[in-house]
Amino acid sequence: MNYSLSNMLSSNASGIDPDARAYIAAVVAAGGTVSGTQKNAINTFYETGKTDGWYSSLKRIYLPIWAVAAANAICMKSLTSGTFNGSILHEAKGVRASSTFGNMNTNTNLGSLGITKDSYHFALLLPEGAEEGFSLPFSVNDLYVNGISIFWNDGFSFLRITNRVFSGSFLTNLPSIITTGNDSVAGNLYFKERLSNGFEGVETLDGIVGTAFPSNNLFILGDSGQQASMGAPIGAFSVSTEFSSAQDTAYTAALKTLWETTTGLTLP
Amino acid sequence: MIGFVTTQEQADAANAAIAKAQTDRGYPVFWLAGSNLILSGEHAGQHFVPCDDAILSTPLIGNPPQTPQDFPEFTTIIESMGGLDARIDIPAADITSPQEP
Repeated sequence: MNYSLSNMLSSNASGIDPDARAYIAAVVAAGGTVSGTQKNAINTFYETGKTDGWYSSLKRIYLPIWAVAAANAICMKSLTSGTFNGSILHEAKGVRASSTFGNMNTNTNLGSLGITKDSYHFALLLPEGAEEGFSLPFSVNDLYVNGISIFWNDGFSFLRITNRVFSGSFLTNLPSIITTGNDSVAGNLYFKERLSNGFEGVETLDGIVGTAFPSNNLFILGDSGQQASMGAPIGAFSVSTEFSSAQDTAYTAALKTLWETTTGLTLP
Repeated sequence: MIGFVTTQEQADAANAAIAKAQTDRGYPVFWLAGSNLILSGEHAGQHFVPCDDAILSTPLIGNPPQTPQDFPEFTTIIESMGGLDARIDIPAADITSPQEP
């Protein structure tokens, strides 16, 4: 079941990318209010992705800025729904846990999406920066070795992609878009923090990921047990097959524009 | 942490009923109250179903958004756990896993 309700599409929406139109219709059907400016921003995002070539790599992308759980749970690419668990606040800039406990289950795993250790990309838009106390913004198999997790505990602890671990020593933890992926052409793995002024901090690891990705579901906001939940908002999250480092830069620019235009806010 | 202390079976039943209220209306399951095993303290070994003000006022769906309290099934679920007055406040530390990375 998803929100692909073609019979709810507006007849005056011609000229809009069909995937953008379907997402907008799904958000409205779920209770979101989408202004003309927001529709244009969403349409531009889809069109840019298709022109630049990264749209086909996207597998799940969430823009939880609609202040309604059903709308926030909708994936922009598949129109499938995630499931929020626990005490989650749905605010204009994104979603966050109101207490220590809560998460969103994407209801899928990476293997089902065609995402493997040799072709992956994660992106996380943090409008207020990281919550450095004890938080796990996204994870597969929680914090366990050979899982996938990004973890703050009294400051940044690590980004783990199964057997490869980034130190994140370059991070500012300011409001940003954080990404990580593999670049098979460059032959490395990267971990980036893109700030609103365009500055990109980056850490690279030569080589590849050696250990296959776990088959557990992908969780956002907290771990599978609704623990280590984010008290700072997540404005957008996506998971994709491989983006080259150059595609990553183009994608994060488009994601920043999408979030800023649809929220009317700026990454400070 | 405000909510209900109950058995795993009742916590699972409560969340299954919340899920059913959504699927019965043709929706995907986009929201659950969730539950946690209580690891320490007076209620260790039981399960905790959160039910604080944020849960009760969650904007679920629609415009204007309906909250859990707008669904009659939710009232039934609350009553099955003893009603809102049966909620208690337990320390978050009782639920927090000591799991280390």
